Formats: sequence, structure tokens, C-alpha cells
Amino acid sequence: MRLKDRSIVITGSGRGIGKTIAIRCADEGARVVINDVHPSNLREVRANLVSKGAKTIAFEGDISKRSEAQGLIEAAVRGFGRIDVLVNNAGIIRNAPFLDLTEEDWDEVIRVNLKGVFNCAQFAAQHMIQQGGGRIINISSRAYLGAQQMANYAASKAGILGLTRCMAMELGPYGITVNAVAPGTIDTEPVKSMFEGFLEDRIKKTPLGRIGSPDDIAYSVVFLASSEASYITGEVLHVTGGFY
Amino acid sequence: MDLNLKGKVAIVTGAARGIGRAIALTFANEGAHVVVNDIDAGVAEEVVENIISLGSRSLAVKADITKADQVDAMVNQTLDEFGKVDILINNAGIVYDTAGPIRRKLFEESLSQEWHREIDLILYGTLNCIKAVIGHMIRQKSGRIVNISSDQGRVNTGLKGISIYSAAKGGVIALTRNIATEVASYGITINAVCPGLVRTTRALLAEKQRDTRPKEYEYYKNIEKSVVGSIPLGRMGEPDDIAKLVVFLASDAASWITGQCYIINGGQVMI
Repeated sequence: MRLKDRSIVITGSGRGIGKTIAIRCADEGARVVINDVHPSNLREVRANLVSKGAKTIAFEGDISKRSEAQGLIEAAVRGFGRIDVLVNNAGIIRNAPFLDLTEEDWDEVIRVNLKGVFNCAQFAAQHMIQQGGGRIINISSRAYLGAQQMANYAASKAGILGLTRCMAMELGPYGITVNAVAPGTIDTEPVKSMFEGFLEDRIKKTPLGRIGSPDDIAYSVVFLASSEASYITGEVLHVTGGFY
Repeated sequence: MDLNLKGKVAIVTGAARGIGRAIALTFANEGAHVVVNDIDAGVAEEVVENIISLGSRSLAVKADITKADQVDAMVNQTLDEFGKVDILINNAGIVYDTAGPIRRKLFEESLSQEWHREIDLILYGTLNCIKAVIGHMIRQKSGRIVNISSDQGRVNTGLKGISIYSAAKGGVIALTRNIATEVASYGITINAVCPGLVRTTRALLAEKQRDTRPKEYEYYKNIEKSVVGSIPLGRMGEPDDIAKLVVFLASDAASWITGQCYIINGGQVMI
């Protein structure tokens, strides 16, 4: 029970990596606040967690909007009295060759993936400072090192790293650690919509010979969220099967 | 999250004190059996007793890891006693001059005939140990290796007089990336951990010997004043902090992580 009674918020937890993070945190005894823009996904995950006996709050909202990000954090504090861990996982893709990216493709991805992190982290940090500590874990992506047809996504995920380090620097003295996890290719819905040949290419390039499962990421998040990781801050943990 | 370390056999080099000792005890707490290697057999035996009292099996093996034949003997002894090797932690290392940190030399003052000491222990020691277990791990189609490198091996931290130590620690990171790629298909992961400033045995000793070794005490106090103030988390690392990350990387929860160098330094250097 590495996370017993901790109050943990996970954005974008209606499916995929976010959903698995929520489940694994609950397995470790955490009280979980799940969030998504898709109400049906959210309901399903909530039912799953409740059936396991996990204390769960579901908050439907788009965290790229300031008021909804604030609403999410307030719901956590109202419901559980505190917020111990924030996992900024919500993210979207709008892939296209660089020369074909539209202004909307660019703005949407930066807004949800980068501004969303800024929004939630800022509201959460204020509570964590009053509490005397906390953990912020931002889900970046290996794509920040460069990936075909993902310039907008890569920029947002690289932006998360600069933000992570600055938060780590400024919030460290308050007992708040801020880290990022950079997943490689994970077996989730968005990956199925990638260009033809993408999956084979990734598997070939991955030394451990497989793409990742959502659990591979969830375990790293659970570790970072636990008291065992209290001296790790400002770090990017690459979880990529050895593919950088 | 099951680390799945119960019954696994881990060799930890330089495990009589400091980070190595903390790693050995953390493994024992997770139910793993531990070979405690050090050149100081007496203190290693104390760690073994500690581990046994936690309910795991343990063996102290004295071996100088700069000597390949002694490393081979250590691995053979491990196989004889436990039947397998699942985990290797390359922790043994030396910090600066054996006489104490205040005798560190800037590179221009260093003697080329002394360079081999840190390179032998840190770089060759790590290579010797990996070589001694890798065949076994390949046949077993499983294995975990974690190398203790250092922030010194990656970046300029501002400390002076440890260029050879840094070269050796940097070499450990490079060998980690390369060997990891070669053995990944056998289900073996190899990662490195880069600690920043850690309150090791030497620092603790200096605190205790304030009256008898005032120069060392002053040295460590100065580091605390000048450097710790700039660390976001406001403290030096403890051996336990490092041990927890090492044990995570050696566990099943980290089975898709390889070739990495994970930094643990309280935010001191975020490159």
C-alpha cells in the first residue's frame, strides 16, 4: 500500500494511460479523483474503481479551460480535504506532416497538452504549499525528441519539460517535487490511428522488442508519487523500452 | 504494484557502507537474498547479519572488483550458494583521493600514474562485474543490472578536482546505454542511477569526528552551506533515497525501462 489514503488527481483518466494510472493508484490505497471530457468513459472508470472499493470522485471537465481546471482541484480538496498528488496526463494528438499542420491543429494541442498542465499545476500547487508538500507528475512523451508528423505534439511535450523544471525549482522549497515521465509508444487508442507502418517501425527500434503497456507507465507514476521518491525532482523519467 | 523481488538473488558491490549498504538492506526488506561484496570483510559481515535478521539469506564475499578473477570467484560463490544471479548492482566506487576529500587535485596538478585508481575501480570494476554475470543472465533469459554513476559523470556540477572520477562515472553511463541495447533481447535490463550530493559514510564520519579531524568536518560543513542552499529540496540525499530508486529499477515494475540514466539529486542540476 504505497499510496495509502493519499488524495490523487489524474487528468484525462477516462481511458488509456490515465485510466490505468488511476486504477494502480487505487490499488495502492489511494483516494482517486478522475477526470475526462468524455462522460461515458468517466462513468465506466468510476464504476470500475468503486467496485474495487476505492474512494473515487469523478469530475467531468476540460482542464485546458482555467475555470474547469480550478473546478477539478477544488472538487478534490472539497471531497478529500487535500490534494497530495496531481498527475497531469490529459493530452491529445492532431498529427499531420509539418507543412500541412493547420493553425487549429497547433493551437488545440498546445492548449490541452501544455496549458492544461499549467492550469492544473498552478491551482494544485497553491493547496500543496498550504499543506506543506505534494507531488506533481507530468506526462510528457518520448516524442519531444522528434517524431514524424508530430511537431505540435512534440512541442507541447517538450514545453512540459521546461515547465516541469521551473516548477521543481520554485516549489522545491515548499516540499513539492515535480517530475515528468516520458513514455515511448504505448498500446492505447491513439497509437492505433498513427500512420501505416508506425507500429512496426517502433517495435523494430525498441531494444526490449515490444511497445509498452499502460501499466509500464502507471508503475513509474506510482513510484514517483510514493514517499520513496522524495529526493527526485526536476527529472524526466524515460520509460521507452530502451528507445531513448 | 508488485516489485516481485521475493526470492531473487542480488549481488551488491561495495555494500559494507553508505549507498551500497542501504541498497542491500532495501533488497532484503523486499524479500530478496543478497550477496554483500566489499573489500572490508568485517563490516560486510555486519550487513549480512542485519539482512538475516530481516528474514532473507545473505552472504558476505570479499572481492577486489578491479581483479577479474576475484569477481569471477564471487559470482561462482553466489551460484554455488544460491543457484542463480538475478540482479547485479555496481555500486563500489571511490570518491576522490583515498586520503580524504581535502587532498583532491585539479587536473593540471594530477599525476598520470594515479589516474588508473578511479578508472580501475569505477569503470573496470563495473565492466568486470557485468562480464562475470552476463553469460549467466543471457542463459537464464532474465536479469537486472543497475550501475551507480553520478551527476559528475553527466554534467558540470561546479565541484573541482574530480575530473578523473567524473571521467570514470561518465564511462559508466555510456557502457550502460550500449550494453543495454545488446542484451535487451534476452530480457535483461541495464540502467544507471546518477545521484547528486549524498550524505555518505564519510560525511557522517566527519560529523562524528569533529574534534579529531577538524579539517574534514569544516570541509563537509562548507559544502552544506554553499551547495545545499541551492538545492531546491534543501537537503543532501540520503543513502536510502538512492537505494529506493535502485531497487525500483531492479524490480518487475521497471521491466520496460532500459539503457537509462535516472537522476536523483533534489533538483540540484536539471540538465
